[in-house]
Amino acid sequence: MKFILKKVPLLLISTALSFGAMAQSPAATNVPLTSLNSFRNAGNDWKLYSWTSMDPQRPGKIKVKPGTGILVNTKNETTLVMESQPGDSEIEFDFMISKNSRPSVFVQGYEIKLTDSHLKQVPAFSDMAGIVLSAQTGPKGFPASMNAAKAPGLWQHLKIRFRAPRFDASGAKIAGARFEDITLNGVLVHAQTELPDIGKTNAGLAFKGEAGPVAFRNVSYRQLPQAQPSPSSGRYRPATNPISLDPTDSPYILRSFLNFNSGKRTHAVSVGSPGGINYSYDLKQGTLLQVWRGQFLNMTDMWHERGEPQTAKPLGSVILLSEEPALAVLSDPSATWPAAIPFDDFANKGYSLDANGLPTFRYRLGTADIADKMEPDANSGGLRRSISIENAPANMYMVIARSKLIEALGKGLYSVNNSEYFIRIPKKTKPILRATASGQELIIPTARQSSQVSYSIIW
Amino acid sequence: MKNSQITIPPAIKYLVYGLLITCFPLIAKTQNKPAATAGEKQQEDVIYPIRTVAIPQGLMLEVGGMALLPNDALAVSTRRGEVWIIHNPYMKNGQLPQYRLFARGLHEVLGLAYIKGDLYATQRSELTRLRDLDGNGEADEYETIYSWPLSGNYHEYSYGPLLDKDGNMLLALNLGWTGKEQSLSKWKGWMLKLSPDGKMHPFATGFRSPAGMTLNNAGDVFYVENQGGWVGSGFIAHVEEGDFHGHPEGLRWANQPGSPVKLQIKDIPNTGEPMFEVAKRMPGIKTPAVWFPHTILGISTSGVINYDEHGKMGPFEGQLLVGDQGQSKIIRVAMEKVKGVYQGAAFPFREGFSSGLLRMTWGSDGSLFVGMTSRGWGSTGRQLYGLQRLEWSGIMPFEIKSISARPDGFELEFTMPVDEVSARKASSYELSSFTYKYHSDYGSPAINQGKRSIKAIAVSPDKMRVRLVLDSLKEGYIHEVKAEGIRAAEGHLPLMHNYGYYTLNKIPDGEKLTISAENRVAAEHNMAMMGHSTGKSSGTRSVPSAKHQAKQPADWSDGPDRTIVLGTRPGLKFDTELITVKPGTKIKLTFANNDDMQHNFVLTAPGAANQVGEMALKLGINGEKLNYVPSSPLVLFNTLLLQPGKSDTIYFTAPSKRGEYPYLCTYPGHYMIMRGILKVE
Repeated sequence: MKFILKKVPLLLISTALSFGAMAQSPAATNVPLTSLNSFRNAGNDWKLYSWTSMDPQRPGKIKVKPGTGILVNTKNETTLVMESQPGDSEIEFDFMISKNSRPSVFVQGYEIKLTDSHLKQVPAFSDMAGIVLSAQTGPKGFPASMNAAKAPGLWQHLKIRFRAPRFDASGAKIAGARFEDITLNGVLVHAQTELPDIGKTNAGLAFKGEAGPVAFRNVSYRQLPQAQPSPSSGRYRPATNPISLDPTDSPYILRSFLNFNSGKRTHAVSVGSPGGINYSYDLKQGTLLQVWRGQFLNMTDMWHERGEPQTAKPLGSVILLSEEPALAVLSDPSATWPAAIPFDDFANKGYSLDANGLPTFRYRLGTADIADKMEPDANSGGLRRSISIENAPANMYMVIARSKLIEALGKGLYSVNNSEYFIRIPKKTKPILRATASGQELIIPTARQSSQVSYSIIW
Repeated sequence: MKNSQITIPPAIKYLVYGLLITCFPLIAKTQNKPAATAGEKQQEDVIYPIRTVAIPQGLMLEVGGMALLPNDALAVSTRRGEVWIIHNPYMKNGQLPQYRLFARGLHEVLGLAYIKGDLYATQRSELTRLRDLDGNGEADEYETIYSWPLSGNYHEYSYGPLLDKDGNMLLALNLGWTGKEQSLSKWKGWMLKLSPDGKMHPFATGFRSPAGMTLNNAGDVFYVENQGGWVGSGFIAHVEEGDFHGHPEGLRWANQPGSPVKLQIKDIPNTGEPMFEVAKRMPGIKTPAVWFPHTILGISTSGVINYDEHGKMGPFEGQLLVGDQGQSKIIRVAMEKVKGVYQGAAFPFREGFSSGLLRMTWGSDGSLFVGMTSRGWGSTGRQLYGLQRLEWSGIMPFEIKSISARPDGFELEFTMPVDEVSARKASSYELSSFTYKYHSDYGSPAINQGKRSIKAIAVSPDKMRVRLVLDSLKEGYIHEVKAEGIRAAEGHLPLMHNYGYYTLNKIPDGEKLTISAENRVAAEHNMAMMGHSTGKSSGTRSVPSAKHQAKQPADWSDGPDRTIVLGTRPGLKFDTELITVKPGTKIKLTFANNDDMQHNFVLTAPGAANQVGEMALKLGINGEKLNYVPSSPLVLFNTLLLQPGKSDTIYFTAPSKRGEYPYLCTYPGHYMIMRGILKVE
């Protein structure tokens, strides 16, 4: 205990510093989407709905339900400008794009693209979250540092911290505009980006449609606190050079500890493919824990000094899936899914690699021998999972998805957790969508003896 | 191929050595450095040259395990989870070695073994068999052979497998660290046995950090231990089924099905008595075969290897070589069995490796591959990682080959005939005995120290052995045997290493030496020795108060001008490495050791850090008692030596003279790295 107490004074200092900064931070203003009154020039291209769904693979396909709360543009090339003009501001919103759409958001005239480009490994400035500049000279734009985009048809999240330009009394500019940071789906993609002068503008926050449907919801902004001067009194410590890991010519299969929901997973493996489709798997539960696209892992907490956390950190925008075991024997189809398999009841057998270096994980659960394989799907940018089970007992089920809300969109397509990701199940498979204490579960009964189950995750 | 080495009958061997000794000056000329001339000590780097194996730039070969393959390639596993196969690691004909990646993505592989045609890797959570089924030179089957739970604590390292003589595989699991050692998940602090049918049998417990295991020539299992809680100093111990080796945390699982250990945590008294005393009244506690006095024979025992028929390291066949990570060196252990119990002596063997030595394996030519990593721990060899190869030049080192116990003393065997005049002189030797505390504290000072005096000396007719009859033997104690005055008959060489430490678990029965006029030691000598005796010491630490002012001086009416709180960072670092003050500043300094090993804070005169660090190292077995603070005017101020999690506050006035005053941790092995500067300006 004494050991832990020693650390308290340092923690207090850092808490006090960050608290000081937070104290100045005003509450967020939500832009009401019950009407279009907050906007200058709504026109006929922008409409309010209560629900929308866009197909991940078919351009322009959109479904809507009447109501308010979601701002939708199904036409092209019109810009919706807000009446109020946040200055130094932190702006957040959710957005959904259709396949091949190229909409934008503008902050005081500076354009950030929301292009459908989720399959690109290295984004250009005209791709998702790229900053496009209209200046006559200088760079044409700044690309996002990495691709954190999701598939079209899913809700994505953008957070922008913008510092407006400063002018003196005579109107001369004394400080340029700057994106302090832009965060896409939880991943920092721009940091301290100085912006060229584009002249004085009265444009506030604006949304623009292009080349296909786009929807926005949960739009809010708040005043940015005064910029904090660099603390001169603080101790300077050189930053640790980060250690990152990326597969180059074949999949990288990496064992590590992994922080996940309820704690640290000690028997985890993460698999990164050269195409940037990555996932983590719990070898002692047979559970697909999370998926992400883009860069693979930050290894600093494992490979720097003693590596005390021993955790590998995904570098992209991570979709957290379920943490419960994939397979379970249920006494009846309404029985509760077990939270975990006891350590000694699950015999992990390791994995073997196919000709492409992709692993098949093997384990034994009771009498059943299971082979579990994930393959990247270059077309959808998703992951296809195939499980084969030999000697399965009666009443064995496989869970495909667990969430507050799972919506069947038809033809084997399901939207999970309010369009956070899609599941696609072969048409011949008959899943059961059932209610649980906390939401819904999509499960598939397995055949006795020999059974093959497959599905895809698209995000 | 490696098994086809011809075993030379001992008689011929000695003849060969005899020739070598005769040819000594001739051979010496072929070495890089001049060999010792008559009367000059032999140099380790001449007798045992170290060759560095080239590593491609950018390849972080942080060696965790090594195994020689049948095609004479060396398989190396790393802390970053890779397994490399290195062809031509000998760099024959000046050609570079070639590296091929065999497997990757494993979790900190600290053990690698080639067993019956397959490579086995021990990851943190499992033993994995690696196979290349399609023959493309890369593993494509990573089969889990056995898997165990983990808590997620970084200190839960896993080691092995060691193939025992019955075909079982042994694994050893480290305790976790949370400010003290803890067994946070099942079987931490245990050795596990996997029988050929794949079943796991808990084998023995009481382990703290069992980083190295080996079989000796008899096929008995040995492991090496690291100093820490309940472990006063590093040691090697003989492991048998059902053993308890000293750290109580593993006993948490002694009641699990299959456990052969009956002791419970509450059975282990935390009194600080010597371990052998506790073991006398608590059956089931196994004491070490040989202790390695801390800082003298290492600070972090790591790998161990049997000098069997695969080795070619001079006249020490059948002994064990033990690596030390922190001091980048190898020590040598010569054991014997007395009354059914292993015991024996440890000696220095070779220092000067490039990084933290973790693994050793024999090459096909009898040289010794040494795999290293120091990341996060620091080592005397400053490289972050490395691979080297130790060769024997063929020159006979003049060493104490072994020490064996006798009912009335010890017999020293030498590698060459000794000069009889020097061997008969009592003043050529110095013997003392001591032991360590057995308690939950980290490490222990040497306690119950006492000089032993020599009553008689007998030299064997072939001059290879010297028998020393002592005033008394202390059963259970470590006996320091120094033989500084001994000279070789040939060339009047002094010993290359003139001391060893014998752990006397049992005093043997048998005939005592008849003391005669010829072998008796004159009484004056013993009187003189008694005069030098420091007598028994209680083991409490002495604190030089002027340099360790624990109370605020009375004349600091306004209190300190400056309050400094200094902590540690992993990897042997102070958390602040530059403190700037004005001359004469009244300073209150608190040093809080939040690391997992012992540290102190010593402020030295400008430019004196190295000197003070080296002086601290030379304090030897008394070092811990003295907080590793040498008595020297170069030391300005210091804290106590602090256990993990402890802190100490001192008051001192900054020097009036401007300059850069180094501060450092003088704990052996730390001073080169763990430093900062007090800048007075």
